[in-house]
Order: sequence, then C-alpha cells, then structure tokens
Amino acid sequence: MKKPRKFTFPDLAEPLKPFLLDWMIWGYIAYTVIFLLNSYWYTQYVDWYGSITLKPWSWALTVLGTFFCAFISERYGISVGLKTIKGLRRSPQKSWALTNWGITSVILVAFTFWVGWLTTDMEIGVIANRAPKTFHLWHGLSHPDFTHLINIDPELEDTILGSLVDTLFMAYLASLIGGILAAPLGFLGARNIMSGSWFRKSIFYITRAFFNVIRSVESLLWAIVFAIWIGWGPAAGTFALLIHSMAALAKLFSEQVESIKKGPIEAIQATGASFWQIIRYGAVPQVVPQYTAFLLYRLDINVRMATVIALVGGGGIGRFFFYYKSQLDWNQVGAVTIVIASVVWILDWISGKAREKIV
Amino acid sequence: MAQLEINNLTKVYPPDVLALDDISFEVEKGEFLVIIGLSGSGKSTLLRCINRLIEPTEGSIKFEGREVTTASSKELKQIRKEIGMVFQRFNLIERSLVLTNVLTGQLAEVSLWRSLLGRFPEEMKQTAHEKLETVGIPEQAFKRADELSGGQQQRVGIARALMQDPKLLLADEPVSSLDPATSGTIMDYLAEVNDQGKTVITSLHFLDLVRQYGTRAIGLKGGEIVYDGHPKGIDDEKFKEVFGEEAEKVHIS
Repeated sequence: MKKPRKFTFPDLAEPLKPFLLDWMIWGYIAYTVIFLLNSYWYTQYVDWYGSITLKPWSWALTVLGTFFCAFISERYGISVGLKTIKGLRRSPQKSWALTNWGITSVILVAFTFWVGWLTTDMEIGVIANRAPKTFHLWHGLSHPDFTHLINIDPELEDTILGSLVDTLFMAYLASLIGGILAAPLGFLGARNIMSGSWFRKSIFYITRAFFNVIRSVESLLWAIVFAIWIGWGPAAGTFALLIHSMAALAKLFSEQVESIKKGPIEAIQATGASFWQIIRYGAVPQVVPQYTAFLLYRLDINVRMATVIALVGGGGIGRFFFYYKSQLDWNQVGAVTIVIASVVWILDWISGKAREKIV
Repeated sequence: MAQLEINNLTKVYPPDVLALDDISFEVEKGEFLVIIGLSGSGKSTLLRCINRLIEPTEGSIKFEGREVTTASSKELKQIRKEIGMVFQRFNLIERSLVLTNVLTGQLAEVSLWRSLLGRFPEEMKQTAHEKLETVGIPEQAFKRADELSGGQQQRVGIARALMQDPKLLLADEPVSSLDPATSGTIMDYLAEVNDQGKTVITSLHFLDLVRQYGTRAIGLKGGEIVYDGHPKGIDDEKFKEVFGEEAEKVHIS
C-alpha cells in the first residue's frame, strides 16, 4: 500500500497569530484607558477631535507594556488570542460570560461604547431640550405645498412629478445595466467555478478585488466623481448608481453562485458537455431566481439612493428637496418628502411581493 | 478485450484519506455489475473515477481500449458521451422542464450556440419524448422537474442517461433515496437497459436487489476489493466481511 508523503514547512504564522491578536487587544485596552483618563482628568494629551497625542517615549512604553501583557496572558493561559484562533470550545457547565473570552469581550464592548459615546458627543438631554426647534419642520410636513407638483418651478425648470420620473428612470437604467454587467462578474468572482488552474484563480482574485474596491465606495461618492467627469445632471447620477449596483450585485451574485448544488453540475458534466454548456445548464438555472430577486431589491435601493444623489449633482427629484430646504420653504419640503416616501413605499411593497413569488 | 479495464486504481483525497486502494478488475460488455459496501467504502469514488468526475490519483482505466485517466479534454468529452450516469439524488435541473432535463443528455451533440440558446433540434426533442415513454412518464414532459415525485425524478434521470445512447451506464446508488416499491421499478428499468446489451455498473445497499438483478458483484471495504464473483456466492460469512459484524440488522433479504 502506498501512502503519499508531502513535506510541509513548519508554519511559523500559527503560533504568532494568537500572540499578535492578544497584543492588539491589550493595545486597544491601553488606548481606551488613556483616552478615558484624559477626557475625565486631563486634556493636554487629547486634542480637540479626540485623538491622543502622547509623548514619543510614552508610546514606546505603551507598546512594550502591551507586549508584556500579551506575553503574560499567553504564559498563564488566560489568552483570548489562543481561544479565538484555536476555536471557542468551552466546558458546557461554565457560562460563556465567565470564560476569559467572555469577560474580555464584555469589557471590550463596554469600553468601546463608553469611548464612542464621548467621541460622538452623544447627549440625551439635548434631544428633549431642543425639540421645539423642529416645529416648523413638522408643520411643513403636515401642511405640504403641492404647487409645483405639476406646475413648473421656474428656479429648477421642472415639476416635482417630472423629476420623479427622471429619478425612476435613473434607478431603472442603473439597476438593469448594472445587473446585466454583474451577471458574468458574479460567475468570474465565484470561488467554486474559478478554481482549478492558476489562470482561473487569478481571474477570480482580480474580479473579486475589482468589485470589492468599487463596492466600498458609496454611490454618493461615485456621483461626485461622475458629476465632475460628465457634468451635473441625471446622467452622472445614473452612472454613479450603475457602477455601484454592478459591484454590489456582482458580490451577491458570486455568493449565490458559490452556494449552488454540485449535483446538477456533475450530471451535466457526465454527459460530455463543454464548460459553457455546464455553466448554462448546471449553474445558471440554479441562480436565476435569486438573481432576479436581488435585481428587484437593487431597483428598490436605487430609487431611494437616486433621491439623495441630487445632493452632489446627480439630478432627479432630490434637487427639489435640497433646493426647498436651502430656501427654508418647509411646506414645499413637506410636499417633496411625501412624494418620495410614497413612491419608495409603493416600490418596496411591489418588489417585496414580486420577490416572494420568485424565490 | 474487456469493455472496461481498471488497473491499480488508487484515489487519495488530500491530505491522506485513502478512498480506493490499488483496485483492479475488468468488466465485459453486457454485464450487470453491482458494487456493494458500506458508506465510505469507496463505491461512489470508484464510479466517479470511471468517467473522471473525480480525478484518480494513480492507476489506469481503459474504456473500450481508450485510456481515460490521461485523456485530453476533448477525448474525455467523447468518452463521457458514451458513458451514461444516474445519481442517488437524481441531480436534475429542478427548475427546468422534464423535457429539457432529458435533452441535456445530448448536449455533446448540439453546437455551443444552439445549446446556449436552448434551441435543441426537433428530432432530438422527438427522441427525448421517446425516452420518456421508455421510462413510462411521457405525460410529464412539460412539467417542472421539481414537481415530480422521487421515483419519477429518477426515471427522468434514467431517460437523460439513455438520451446519450450510452455503451455503459453508471448508476450511483440509484434507489437509495426511494421507497422499496419504487426501487423495484427503477431497477427493472436498469435491467431493461442491460437486456439491450448495454453494460450497467451500479452501487447498491440491499442484498436482495443485488441477488435479483446483478450478474456479478464486487464487494468493497475500506477501498479494497473483498469480493468479486456471482451475487449468489455471497453467503452470510462473506456478507459479514463486506458489511461488518453490525450488518445483520440491515440485512434485508
């Protein structure tokens, strides 16, 4: 009987990982402690936007101190890193909150909450104190002024309904073109399809990187890019929504492709079919319903996004909203808000129903 | 020359799971070969190595004189076209029509563009209807595959394999997901295929089916052949050897 032997290098990264994680956790705890100490007792080490400006030697001290803490915690078996990297098994009798891992996570969550509360200037009182200030807003919403619903606003050279139609078409074009472009990307970015040869693998990584980078930039920022690129207006907004939809859908699609059942693929393969035939008959029928559902959902998102995108020159109904807001014309703001809200609500309802039917 | 010659076939799943250990046997044309063994004994792996759905690690497989293990992608497609396969979980395209499912058996014969557009030739559709008639469900052609019962789905699976007009039919536990009565029907269809001169290699769990249909049985245990002969030759002792001491509980015969 032959047994295959394969030589593997001792993996140095393995023992280092838990230690590094421990070090990072201790570093984080040290940072938050210094931050809290500063904001309650001193202020000279914290500048106005809340970042810590320690002296160089105290940074070195912190780094060394946390290194030491991490070392000690590994040495005495209270390491969170070891637990996390090696798996979170625990004895069933012990409550999770009493384990080292549990205690540390609770401390970390609490610390972070505290620091977050301080950095974001959260105050409960102010919500109540300043409530009367919003009166004109609520008044505007409850007394909407629909003058420009079908009458052209000379300032914006359009009606509210007219620009609403713009917005809907922007969202529609963006979803449709984005969806069509995303479909092949979804396959190219699916690990199970793009495995085997290094050629396929490199296509997989390039595709993944491509749509992850595009996706991590919000459509609002894309709108700024396209507003500069091709000028203000609905076209810029459509391009912005399109490119972001494409990346976001490609991501969802690729996950869908990765979850397809192997059986039908095997069956088609066994008939002697070619690669593209296997994709067409083994994979595509399994993902089409989800594709359509995602696409409908994206249309929904795009209509909502298309209303905001006007803020940076994307065109559409959002223009009216931001213009009236800048004029402090709250009654007209109310009218636009009501139109946007009802369209979003109707579309949400329709796409929800349609998705129920498909999946 | 035997139709299928398997020599020193070994399959290792990385890192070191030995699924098939140096297996050799020959299959003559027209045989009804049954492979028996417990779960994990290597039955599925063996069947899938024959049409290279699973890449063998070592050894050679010769189908009608052609080496399968080293076949180029084009040769492999040709070989696969001549080997039909039926699966335990049917492996149909669930959302497609039964007819489309049967037609996929002929994909290797259709040009790429035609097949991508789903436009199969008319006479091919005719053949598909005939195959559905062969397995007794001509009236289900225009239903979605997932609307059918398990037994009916397996018949579609057989019709798809027959569509290839295969010289060899592989059936990977074709009745394990079905009730005993339906199992009988499905086995009858496989026997009918075998009567037409096509070789059948199937893996089965139940010894009574093995004895009823098989012309030869191979017992697998831990990736090695522990029995090779006529199904009638499997007495209680042999049975224990193949299925282990605990097996008497599942002994249905």
